[in-house]
Amino acid sequence: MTNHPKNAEEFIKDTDRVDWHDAALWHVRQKRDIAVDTVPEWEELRNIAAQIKAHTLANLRSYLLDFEQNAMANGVEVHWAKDAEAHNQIVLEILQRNNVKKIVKSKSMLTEECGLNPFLEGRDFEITDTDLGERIIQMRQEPPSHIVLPAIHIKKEEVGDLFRKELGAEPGNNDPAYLTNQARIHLREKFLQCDAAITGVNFGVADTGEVVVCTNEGNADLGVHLAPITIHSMGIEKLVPRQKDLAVFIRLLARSATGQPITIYTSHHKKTAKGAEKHIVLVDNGRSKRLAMEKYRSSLQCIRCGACMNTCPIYRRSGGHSYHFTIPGPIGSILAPATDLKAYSDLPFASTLCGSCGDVCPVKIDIPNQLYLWRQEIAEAGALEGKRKSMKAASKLLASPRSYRNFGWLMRLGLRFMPNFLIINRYNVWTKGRDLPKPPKQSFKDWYKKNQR
Amino acid sequence: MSRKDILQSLESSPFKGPALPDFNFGVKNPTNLLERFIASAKASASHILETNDFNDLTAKYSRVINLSNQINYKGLFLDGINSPFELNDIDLLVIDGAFGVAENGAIWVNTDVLPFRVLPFIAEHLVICIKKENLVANMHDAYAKIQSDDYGFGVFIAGPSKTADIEQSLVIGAQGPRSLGILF
Repeated sequence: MTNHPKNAEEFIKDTDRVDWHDAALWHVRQKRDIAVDTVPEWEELRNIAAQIKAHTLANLRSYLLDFEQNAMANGVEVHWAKDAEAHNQIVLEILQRNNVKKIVKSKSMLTEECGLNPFLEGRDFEITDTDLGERIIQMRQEPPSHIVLPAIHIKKEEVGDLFRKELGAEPGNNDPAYLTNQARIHLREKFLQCDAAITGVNFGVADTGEVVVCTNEGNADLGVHLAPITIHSMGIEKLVPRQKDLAVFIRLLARSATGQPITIYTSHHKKTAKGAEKHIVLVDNGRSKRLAMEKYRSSLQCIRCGACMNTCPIYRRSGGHSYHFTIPGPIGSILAPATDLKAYSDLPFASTLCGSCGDVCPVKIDIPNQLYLWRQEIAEAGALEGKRKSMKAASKLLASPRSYRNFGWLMRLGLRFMPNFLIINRYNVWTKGRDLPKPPKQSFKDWYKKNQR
Repeated sequence: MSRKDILQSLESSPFKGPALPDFNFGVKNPTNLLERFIASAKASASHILETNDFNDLTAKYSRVINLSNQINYKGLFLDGINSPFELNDIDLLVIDGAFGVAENGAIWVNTDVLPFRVLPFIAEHLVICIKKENLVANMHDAYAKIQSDDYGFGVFIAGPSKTADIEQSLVIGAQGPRSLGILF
């Protein structure tokens, strides 16, 4: 079975790469801090954003119905999908009905979650991811390793090699500007041939029925406004009640994500264009079930900014792929266990519980606390095979002052003389990549006895 | 059926949430709007154009489309174009923006006045004209203005298209316009 420590082991073999990955993400975190400091009411905005989201989730049913009604009045067709399979079937039906062959897609973690690409590719559609980072990982046949920076784990030399092979780019030129332009030429061709466009959704607005999509590259808009058929795939938790609520979230989103005051394009798709067809697919896929879990409910407030990943010391040093879930990092680690406790029982432990993720979260999700709660749940469910025995032994030892004293004396003495292979071996994961500290000559208790006045 | 299932599932475990909060972060008497807007726009790699710069641009490019009411320049016409797919070779597009936002340098563009929604995204270079008096302090003021705007599609444009997807190196001109000029 795959798990985070095992996957991370693979990632950290190349220490230079780990340092580079760590620094790249920390740089993004620093840009976030600078941007946040320019907004004096930042903390108030966070509070209000959290309240708006909590309120919407508590009244989701009626807001969804409002949204549906208003979107339909705008000429948009609204569909409901209870799970990934239903979502993919709805999309397939729309595409087949319109004889679509070629699809351009902009970044969407939801379609990633639903496995839409492999589903459509298996049915002879050509689906092109048009965000540069997404296109890179699509060519490499990999999942994204970050929700905002999907190709953050890849070096420019690797992109250069890939584009030489896939796009005929010139050898040896790894300049990001050159490579970006090669992708632009390639993707423009795809845009000019597309039959349909699929996008994700950042926000749906109940009182206007519009959807808002935020991008920097302009790829989502090129697709939507060229293709005669547009499909917006939207998780049911993406709703905000009023248009004016967008101000709060737009101010928070890009600053938290990349340190920009706003993304280059903040697109408000309301009415269907003349001669075009627009669809919105509302997707549940476990969200309503999560909503019923009181302890973990607030994880649905997430606006997918990725700030918790950029700040997480574990994420930065283990890479997004180590998390083996669509959404990696701290937020992914509290989302994943609700979908399959056993398969993802490792993820809530991929954290130091330092609390940084909670501090940067723009909608104030108590991520560290939920990580802790999941750990308890996982332990109770008995999903912690290896650790159980050692923890039981430790608990016995620590419960008795006498045996604790004796064991301490033994270890202080023993560690000095024990040969290394007895201490540093595969049963002691603590000594993986680090030494034990030198044991002190005496215990604190002994020292205190001697030195107290 | 999914719709019924989802609605039923949401109904089955009701819980109470907080009231919908009200807030007012709009700025009553904003100062230095122009100065702040220009600083934000420049930080986002937009160019502030003087009349000379604009003349240079129109001289430099052959396929120029002017859809702005604010400036007097006769470019090429879009007559006879029926499909957005035919718009790929525009060098420079000039349009009007409704208003600018000082806190982030973004400009609201209601594309209903344009013959095709794709125009501001497909042109190689873009110039947006706005009036100095049409500036607001922040996004709250911006949405207060939009509320009365009836649009099919509207967009805040905050600079030239950009990406940092390759090693976090900022590249201007990702998929949309390679430059954004702002003309007051």
